[in-house]
Amino acid sequence: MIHKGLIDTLFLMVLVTTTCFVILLVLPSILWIWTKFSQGPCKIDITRISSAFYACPQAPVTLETVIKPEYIPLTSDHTLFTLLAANDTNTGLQIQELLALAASQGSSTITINGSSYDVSQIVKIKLDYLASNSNYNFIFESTPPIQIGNNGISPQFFSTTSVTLPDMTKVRAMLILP
Amino acid sequence: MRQKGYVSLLIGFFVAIVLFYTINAVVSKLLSDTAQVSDDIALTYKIIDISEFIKLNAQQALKFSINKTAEQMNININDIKTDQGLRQDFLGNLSSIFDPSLITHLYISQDIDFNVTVKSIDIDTTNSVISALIEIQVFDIYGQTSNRFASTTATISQNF
Repeated sequence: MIHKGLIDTLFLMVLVTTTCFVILLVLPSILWIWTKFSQGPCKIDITRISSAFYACPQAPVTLETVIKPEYIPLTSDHTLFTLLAANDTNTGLQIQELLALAASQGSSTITINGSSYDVSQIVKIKLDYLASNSNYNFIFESTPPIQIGNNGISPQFFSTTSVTLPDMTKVRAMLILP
Repeated sequence: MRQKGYVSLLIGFFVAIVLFYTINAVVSKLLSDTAQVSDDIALTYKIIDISEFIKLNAQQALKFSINKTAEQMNININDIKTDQGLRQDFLGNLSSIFDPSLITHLYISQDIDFNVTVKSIDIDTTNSVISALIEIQVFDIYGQTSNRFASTTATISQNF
């Protein structure tokens, strides 16, 4: 027959283990994720709380590790490539060629065979379709530069390439996705 | 009985600490390994993407360089079909003008560099096509140890 005191002891040990485990491992992670992504004004400094428990100052599983930021420029790479290689049905030219002509003619509005085309508008229509939720910032560093989209997006992750102009100079094209 | 309670408390706390550091170490190691694989894959994709950007730009560079060469020589491009001497001159000038590379410093900040070399340019007078064979080399310059290198060739064609 098992002594009643032994059952109490075991129960208490499991209880303490579980409680300590939750406090040390789970709680800092939850608090860290909460403070990291909290949009509200109230934030808790996790470093102060976790130091009291001698736990990790950050969650053991950081979101930067799980969601690799390297893949974000790859996504923008594919979007930028598709944009530049796409054909515009009205002019019959590739977007990269339209951008080159716009840079060459010094204006976003270009003239081909007597007809005028707004390159910014053509690029915007393509990007609205290609970039998810239409949140992007496209910059073509011609003179004057062509900027389309939300210029408030942080340039932390971006894709870049260069476009050759008719005079064989090269201009940088950059796409920033959030 | 009260003493046993304190012992349980201490043992429980000790087990929790051991559990915490063990799981933390295992998860960290797993994530670290996964992250390395993920980095390698991302770098491979980046190298492929840059090669594709170079090919895309080369296509336009060839088209514009043909136009510019004809303009500089003040000739009708179709004349090179019949005049062999003119064709050779055109080829020489085109070779010096055609630059399929991107702006070099673009990718240095991303620890990737590249070389683009024009291996040959040919004129097919029968089909009115000018073709350029280019060699693309992309490599990472991250640190002193990780030097991944990718080399490919591409043929770019343009009708005239």
